[in-house]
Amino acid sequence: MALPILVRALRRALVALLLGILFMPRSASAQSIEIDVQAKPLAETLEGLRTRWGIDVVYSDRAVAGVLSTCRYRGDEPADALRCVLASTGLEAERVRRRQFVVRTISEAPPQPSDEESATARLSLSGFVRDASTGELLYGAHVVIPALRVGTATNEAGYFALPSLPDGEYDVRISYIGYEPRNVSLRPGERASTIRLTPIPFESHGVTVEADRSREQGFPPPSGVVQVPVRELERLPSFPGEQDLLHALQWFPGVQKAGEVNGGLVIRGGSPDQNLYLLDGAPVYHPWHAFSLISTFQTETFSDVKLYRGAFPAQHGGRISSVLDAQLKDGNRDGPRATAAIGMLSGRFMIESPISHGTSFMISGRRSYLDKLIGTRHPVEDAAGRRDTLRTDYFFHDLAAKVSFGSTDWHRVSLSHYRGGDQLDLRLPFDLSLDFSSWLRPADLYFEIDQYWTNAVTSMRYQYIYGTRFFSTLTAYRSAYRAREGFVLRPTSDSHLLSSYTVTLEDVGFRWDGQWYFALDHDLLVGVHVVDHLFRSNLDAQIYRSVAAVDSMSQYSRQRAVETAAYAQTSWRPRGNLRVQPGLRLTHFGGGGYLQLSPRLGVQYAPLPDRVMLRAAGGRYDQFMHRLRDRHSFLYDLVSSRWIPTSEDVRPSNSHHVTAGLEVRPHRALILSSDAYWYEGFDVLLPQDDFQLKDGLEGPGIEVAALLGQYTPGDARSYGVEFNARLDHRSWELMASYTGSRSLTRIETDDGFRPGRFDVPRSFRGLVGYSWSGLTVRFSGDIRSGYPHTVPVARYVLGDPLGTPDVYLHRPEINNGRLPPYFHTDLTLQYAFRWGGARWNAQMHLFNLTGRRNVLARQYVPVDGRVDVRDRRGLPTLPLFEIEMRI
Amino acid sequence: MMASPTRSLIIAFVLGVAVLAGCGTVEPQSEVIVVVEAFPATASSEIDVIVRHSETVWGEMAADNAVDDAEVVLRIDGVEVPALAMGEGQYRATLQDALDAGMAVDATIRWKEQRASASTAMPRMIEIDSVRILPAMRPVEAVLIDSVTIGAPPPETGWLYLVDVAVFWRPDATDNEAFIRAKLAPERSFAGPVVDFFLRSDHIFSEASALQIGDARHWNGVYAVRVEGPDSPLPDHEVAIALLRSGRDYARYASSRFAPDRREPVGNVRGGIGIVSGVAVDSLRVVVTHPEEMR
Repeated sequence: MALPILVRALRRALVALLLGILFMPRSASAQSIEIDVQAKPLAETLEGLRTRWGIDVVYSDRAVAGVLSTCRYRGDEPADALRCVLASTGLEAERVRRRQFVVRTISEAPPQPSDEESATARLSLSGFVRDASTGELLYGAHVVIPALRVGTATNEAGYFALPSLPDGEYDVRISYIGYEPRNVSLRPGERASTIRLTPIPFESHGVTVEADRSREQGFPPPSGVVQVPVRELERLPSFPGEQDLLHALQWFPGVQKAGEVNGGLVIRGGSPDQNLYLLDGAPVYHPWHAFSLISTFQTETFSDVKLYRGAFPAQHGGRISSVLDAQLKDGNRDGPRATAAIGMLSGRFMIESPISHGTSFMISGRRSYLDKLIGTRHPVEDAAGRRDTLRTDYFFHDLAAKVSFGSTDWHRVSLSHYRGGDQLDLRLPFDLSLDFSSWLRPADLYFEIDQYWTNAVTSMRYQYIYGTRFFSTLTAYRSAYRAREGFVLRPTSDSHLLSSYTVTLEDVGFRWDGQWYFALDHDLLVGVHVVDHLFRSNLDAQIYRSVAAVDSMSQYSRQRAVETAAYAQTSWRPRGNLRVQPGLRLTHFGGGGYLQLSPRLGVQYAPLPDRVMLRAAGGRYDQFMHRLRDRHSFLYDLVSSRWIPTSEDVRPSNSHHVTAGLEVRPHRALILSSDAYWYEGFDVLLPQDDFQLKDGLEGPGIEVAALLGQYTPGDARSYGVEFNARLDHRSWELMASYTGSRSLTRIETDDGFRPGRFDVPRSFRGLVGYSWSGLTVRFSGDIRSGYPHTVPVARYVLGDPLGTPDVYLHRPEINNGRLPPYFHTDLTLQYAFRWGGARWNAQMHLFNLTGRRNVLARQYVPVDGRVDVRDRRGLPTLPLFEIEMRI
Repeated sequence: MMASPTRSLIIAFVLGVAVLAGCGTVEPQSEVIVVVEAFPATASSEIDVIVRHSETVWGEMAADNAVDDAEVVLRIDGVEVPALAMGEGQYRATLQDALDAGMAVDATIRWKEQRASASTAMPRMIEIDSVRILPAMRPVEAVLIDSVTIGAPPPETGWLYLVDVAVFWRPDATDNEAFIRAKLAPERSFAGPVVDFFLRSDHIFSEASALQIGDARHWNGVYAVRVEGPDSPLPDHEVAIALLRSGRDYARYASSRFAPDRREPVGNVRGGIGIVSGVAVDSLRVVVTHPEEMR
């Protein structure tokens, strides 16, 4: 069998990778140092210490010019060796960290240290990194002191700190993808500086970013993390030609939508309900509009987006597959800006502006306009004078706003709010036809659908810096997901049904994070997260089958659980090119009283800075709520996301992740990366009967116990390798990714693992773009294995005591076959121009350029002694457009 | 120049991809499997077992897939009873005494290299106490849809008589695990995907969940008869009313056999396909006429 061989091969590759990291070449550390110099120029002696004994000494040429040193030393203490070398020179050496020293004159009087600094007599170099054009704080910018080969990255608030530095002027290099790197001279111990990076300008909406690829000694994102500036995400094609973050993220390996254009995100084989979507730290439970056609996340409204495709650090928890952490923009601090656009489905706007010094706001909105085109209320009257009002109302909307206050960067308060949802209200006759005019008449036999689902998220953050070394963030939030499904069906004059089903999930959460930069090579993040979950569902239904036969159902479900987590994660740089991030998360969940300890570990190593970076991460993850759907009845659970908490009867899901990879930059414009991953999930709820689909009005109801009867705990396993190439060179851009992976599941009655619903062994995606004089052409393609499906292996006849024999198809194994390969190409044409004082961007997007109707599902139907194969196919070629204006 | 560990890692990744690239799902192969069907009835002294074989999915279905060369052995409460081949895949075991409630029936079928077996227990007898049929006084307008799939012809409206049927029977007080299947089979009926949601002519449910009136339990069903127009009378027709009592295996089987395009019925035969389930059945036929002329 190929699978065991594959498993062994992959395990060996992972072991090889981990061993490679563990047994990297070490620098001389415990060597005996021998120095014997007589009146030798000090600069030469110090250089000899560096090259021969591995003692890194930083000094200014001016300080050592003309200075001679005389020393005879034998021992293994670098500090003693330097003391000998510098004796009688008027200079002294101060240790920065292990085997690294700064030389300075003895007479240099250090500035008065603050109380905090006095304990160590060291100073901190700290500051904020901002976008020069908008004032937005930049998360993940690299801050490096090249002379010391030390560096760090800005946190979520754009803050950095390099503590325990001797006093003096330091040349600091700050870089961030998409921005011009900047060299500044900073002195530690002063108040935090603010460094502004200038974005590399768009060239006709094609971006030349090759210069910014060098990250000096900054580490790449940890293994499995997608962290790309929003400006770059905005460029990626998404369906239906409008800004959509979750569509854009599909261009990265391991991320795909469950359906062709709809469905949740499947990330490295995990199911969509195992992903956590965070908006300014608050969860969004149903981040989709239009039946999952587009997401609630508008790319341009975010300042920072980070996707952990598994193996996330200790501050995140509550899901076992992935975390999307998105931060809304604070708003432009330099001046008012506005964006407006209209596309195929919706129109949108964004306005951002400073209010006063240190205060800014951003507000954005989006709304579909189909209802405005076709109308929502249609009064009709027939020849007999009967009147009726038909309804065709559907729209979705988003409103996001954020206000940031803070006259200084030491205190910052931000308040953000998001509200979005969908509303569907239909009243139509049953006998619809393609002749729309035939609809417009009073309907005796009709159906009414009244559905809405909304997310409302309010988040408040307070950030405060104690001294320069302790960064504190308080977050309080409320997130509410509400959905309602209402039906009225009247297929005969005497038969009808009325149903109303509601689902509510409310979270009220409080979170505190403290980041302590306690040494140059250490920082520590600790935090507490408490959230109160409230789950409610209600069903009222009456089915009038005839005048005499009436069924009714009335059920209510309410559960509450408090989730408390404490976590700690340290970032330790034992060497300039090695970072180790161990972490621990302890979670208690009130539903069932579960206490789980989840260790995490991340390692990053840059054997050749700027060229080769290795990374690995792993950990244990827990999920204390499950999303379930009734699999029998059409009356409820059609479009809602129903979550239930764990309890004594329902165990939490947990998973183990290991991921490792490398990033290679053979050229400044080219990044090649590869990651391997392994995921094992336990106690995930899988359908008890895969063949059961909604097929009637009756069902077991919404009681949790009844719902759970349709599911069974199982195991999930995913593993794979991902290759990604990214090239930005002059007017050309290229993205290509290949993923080889498996996603498997197993329930108690299975002999072994079987392909999961979204198992895709091979997937290739590519995008090539060219920009010229305002015009950008992008061609993108996606080819992958077809999804698994169940193929019958035999047919047979079987009877029944109350019926006639029927022909059935034998399906002993689930997902034993595969649909034809999926192949899809798009072409995007963009033209950027200036007109009327505004910048315009017109876009034409040809979805499915080749017109290939991919097979999305396949059905085998026994008919008249033979078996018909019926395919459900994907969308044909669709021209989509959008025009955007920015002022 | 890259360090050698790095080179090794890159090579390891490439090899990993190469291995994964060849991995996928193998197209399944057809197989021939023995198919067993037996519904021993309480109070009967004969048990019929039907043995067939499966065949390949593709091509025209063979007219004859009966198995006449199988060895069929039945055990009633542990006593072996031979089953004789009657032709066309039918095997009959004749008992000295009629099957009684609670008896255990085990069936073993050997055919070629295959051995299939199943076990069941006999349910208590069931008897229809009474039925009450209540046709609508006049037809109702209804949407008539043959298919709700995209591309189907537009639906039209027509006229239906809705007929309510109430069936009463004595419950089995000794068995809380019993399931009942109630079925209405009118000779003239209408079926359409939307109206069918509201009709109830075939229903499987736990006997304990059925409504009880006095000593009897009852079930309400609804079926429809299509007529030409709003003034058309209900045509005379016969409706077969059946009640079947059995266990969980049969309930699972019967409730999963309605969608051959999507699934196969859930059976209880080990080493093969099919169902062996003890049943107790009672049925009657009633002639239904227009309300004013009900006989």
